[in-house]
Amino acid sequence: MLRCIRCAACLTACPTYVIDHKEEEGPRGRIAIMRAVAEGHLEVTEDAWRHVDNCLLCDACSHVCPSGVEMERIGVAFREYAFTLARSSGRAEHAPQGATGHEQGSGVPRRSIGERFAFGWLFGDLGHFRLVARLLRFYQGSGMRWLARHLGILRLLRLSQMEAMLPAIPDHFVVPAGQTVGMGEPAQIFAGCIMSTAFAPTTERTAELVAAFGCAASFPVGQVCCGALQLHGGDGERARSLARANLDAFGQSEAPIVVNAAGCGALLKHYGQLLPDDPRAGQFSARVKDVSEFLATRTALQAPREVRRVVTLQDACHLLHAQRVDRAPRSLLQAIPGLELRDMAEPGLCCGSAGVYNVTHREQSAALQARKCASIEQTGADMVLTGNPGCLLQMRAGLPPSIEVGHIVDVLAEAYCPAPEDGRSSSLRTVG
Amino acid sequence: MTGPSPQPSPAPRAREQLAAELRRIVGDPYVHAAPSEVIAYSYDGTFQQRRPDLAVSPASTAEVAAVVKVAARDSVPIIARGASSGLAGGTIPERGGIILNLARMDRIVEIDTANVCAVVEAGVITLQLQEEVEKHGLFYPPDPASSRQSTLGGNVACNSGGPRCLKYGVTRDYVTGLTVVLASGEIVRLGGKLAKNASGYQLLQLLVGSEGTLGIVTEAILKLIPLPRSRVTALASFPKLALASQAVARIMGSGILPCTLELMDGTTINVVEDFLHAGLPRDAEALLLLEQDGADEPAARRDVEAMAAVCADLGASEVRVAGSAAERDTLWQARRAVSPALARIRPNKLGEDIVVPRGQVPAMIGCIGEVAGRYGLPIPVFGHAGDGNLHPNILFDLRDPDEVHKVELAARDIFRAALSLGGTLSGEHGIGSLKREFMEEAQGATAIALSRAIKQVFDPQNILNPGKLFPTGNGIDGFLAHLPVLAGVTPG
Repeated sequence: MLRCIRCAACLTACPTYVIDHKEEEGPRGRIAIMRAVAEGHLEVTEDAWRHVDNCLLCDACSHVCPSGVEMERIGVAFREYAFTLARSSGRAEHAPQGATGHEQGSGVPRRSIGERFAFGWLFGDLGHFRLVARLLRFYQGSGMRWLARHLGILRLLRLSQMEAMLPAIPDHFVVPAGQTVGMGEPAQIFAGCIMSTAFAPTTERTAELVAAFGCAASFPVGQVCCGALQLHGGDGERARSLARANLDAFGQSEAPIVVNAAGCGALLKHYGQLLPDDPRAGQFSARVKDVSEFLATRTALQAPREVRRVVTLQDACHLLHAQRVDRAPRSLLQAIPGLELRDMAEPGLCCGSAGVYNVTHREQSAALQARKCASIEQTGADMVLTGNPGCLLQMRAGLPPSIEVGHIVDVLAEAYCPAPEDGRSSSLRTVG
Repeated sequence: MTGPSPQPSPAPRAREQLAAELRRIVGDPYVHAAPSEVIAYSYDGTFQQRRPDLAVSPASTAEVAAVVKVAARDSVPIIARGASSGLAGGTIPERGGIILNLARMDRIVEIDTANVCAVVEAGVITLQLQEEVEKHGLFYPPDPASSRQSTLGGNVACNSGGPRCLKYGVTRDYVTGLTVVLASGEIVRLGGKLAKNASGYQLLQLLVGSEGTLGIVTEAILKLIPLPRSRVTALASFPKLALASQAVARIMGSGILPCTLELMDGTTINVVEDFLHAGLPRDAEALLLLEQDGADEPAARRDVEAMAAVCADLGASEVRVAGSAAERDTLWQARRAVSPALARIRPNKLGEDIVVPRGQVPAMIGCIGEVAGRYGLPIPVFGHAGDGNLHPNILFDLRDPDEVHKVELAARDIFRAALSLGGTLSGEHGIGSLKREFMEEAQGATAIALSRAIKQVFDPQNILNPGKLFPTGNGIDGFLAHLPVLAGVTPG
């Protein structure tokens, strides 16, 4: 925080700043606000909390910062501090900052029951997560969805936005149970919560791709959610406990840990910072590779097949900014014969998904979604690719059906993995 | 560290009434008055900080005029700002009042290819205009290192320069028309889409570089020129700083006018390398970044080769010509990152902006080295050596009062050395609050009295960015300690 010398280099990189050019909605303003709180010039008022909490934690500002400010670390620490204050102040939810507002933390909303449920029970255990996903699938498959939409129950429960965002839940999930595909050097796959359920086919393809690049890809048993949603929501304690469970699951091996969700990858690479006292954490983080980063350093067993598509790439913030991976996905795609990769305008600008931001900050998220989708449509591409589940959902919800939305793995698998007509059913497939 | 006792802020009720009135002008979301919001409009690119009473983000010249009328009626200070990336304290609301955030006025109104000019609102980002006009084969040369975030309104207010200004001139040379809101709230249009103008006093040129003290620039007409089609860039490393500064003088005397001739010393090389990993030579004591542009590439290349030969002759350890556009971009990215990257060394920096006659660059660089030694402070130097504009940056920690005192003395000695070599205080950052105490020494009492008289005509109530540019009377001793920061644990 002390490193910020207010040069303003971050302003034009910030998605929330470029919407309206308000200093309090930009990185430099947020740093100044957090610093004023830390130094006792400012209470955590409702407005202070709101301006800081509007940050997507996309880290685009950190990426361009010449003096080395790390926004995600500062933002996460501030959220945890603010929630601790709010808890200890014991006030009602969304306590307004009124006459008695000198109490620190009075402007911070206390976590809702829903959030506490989500952070604790739902994301805390992959089994629970799969259970809910199965219920959702039942909901989508049965007439209930039609009924709920038409009776207006969703609107009543203020869930319509969230409901429209939901992906079609596939009929099977990936349940990490030590299953392995391919032969060669060992590589461990981090399955993630959303990627192993809502995007289970993509996660299977990830393992098959890793195998097609000459490795034995396995899903270590006992792995859990990475903890990013909890951390960004200010619940550092839960995030750390999930991180410890993952350290146990992935063990002391030297094998690379391959991730297909940029948001998870960014945090897994920072376990060393999250658990500074656990010597295993830094070693774990050093093994983590985004799937594109991992594949780009290896050679496939077979030459790629032709894929006739015109695609554009949406850089996930947690890949481009937080992990600084930009060339790997491009070089992989450019190596596929028949595939044309087109650049879009403002490639580094967040799509507005940002974890659960699209649910918690609907207006700003919608503005960014519209801006991103317009850039995608301008390229004339018939498919947009990305490396993160949040972006996939956000773009699917914002784009017309004529433009396909896919994970970069989906297209790479078309080029490198055995075609489905081989009749081979995936050995990884497990109904959880 | 406390500021000059600020005039008392309006009572809460008066402030609330003011906010309500301004909301009616600019709309609810564009008045920033909450406790955290006034923090966000309290600083610029220096270490100074003072909360305004409130800030507003108007969307048009008419809204700006309406806000200024309210400020004039109540005699409230009004301070215009763009990105507030300035390095002289020019947008610090030292006496409270209203911050006028012009960043929202970001429309490029027109690119007029027939009259070879652009019409822009004050909040347009410099780089955005440059990218836009280049699509038409046109060129807007002024390129402050902050061009990615600075606004054209801010560039006009500070008469900004940049590396290319060596060959192409500064912001002033491109302003042919301005829309200005006066202290009374009246709107005046000066100049036009004109290539020449000899009609009386050029008031618009008086506004350029006036740092928001004479009027508020809301729109500008900027001259454009044809885009040079070729650029050749080279990097020369020197084992000794003195050799690099001699090379600058020799090149400028050789009949070549390069597009840029930038100097970086050893400390700046290393701090930028830490951030960018651009492959700069860490063991060099100085680098010169040389560039020539032009209509045809062989001519530009010949100039660069001639400059390279001068460098080699003077003992450059290596001269590398950039082979690709990507390599050239990396070199430029490195140059632009220098100033902010210095924060990696010490928490605070005093970025100076002196100009000396070009032939005195070696002498000035020698003086800076002596001052650094005298006070035991790190003072890395970089800048536009080709036009005599250098940026010695004194690095320090504001939390250490002894060090602050040493910085004051070092800054004083550097200013005086520049003046004694026939130079001046600022080439492109402006005076703001940081250098005002030295203005009389630099310009003489008569020139300052004339300037004060002009200020009086434009702004009789002294509401436009009050206190900036002119000596306060507190004198040079303690000039840093008198600047406002939020009193507290760790200012900066």
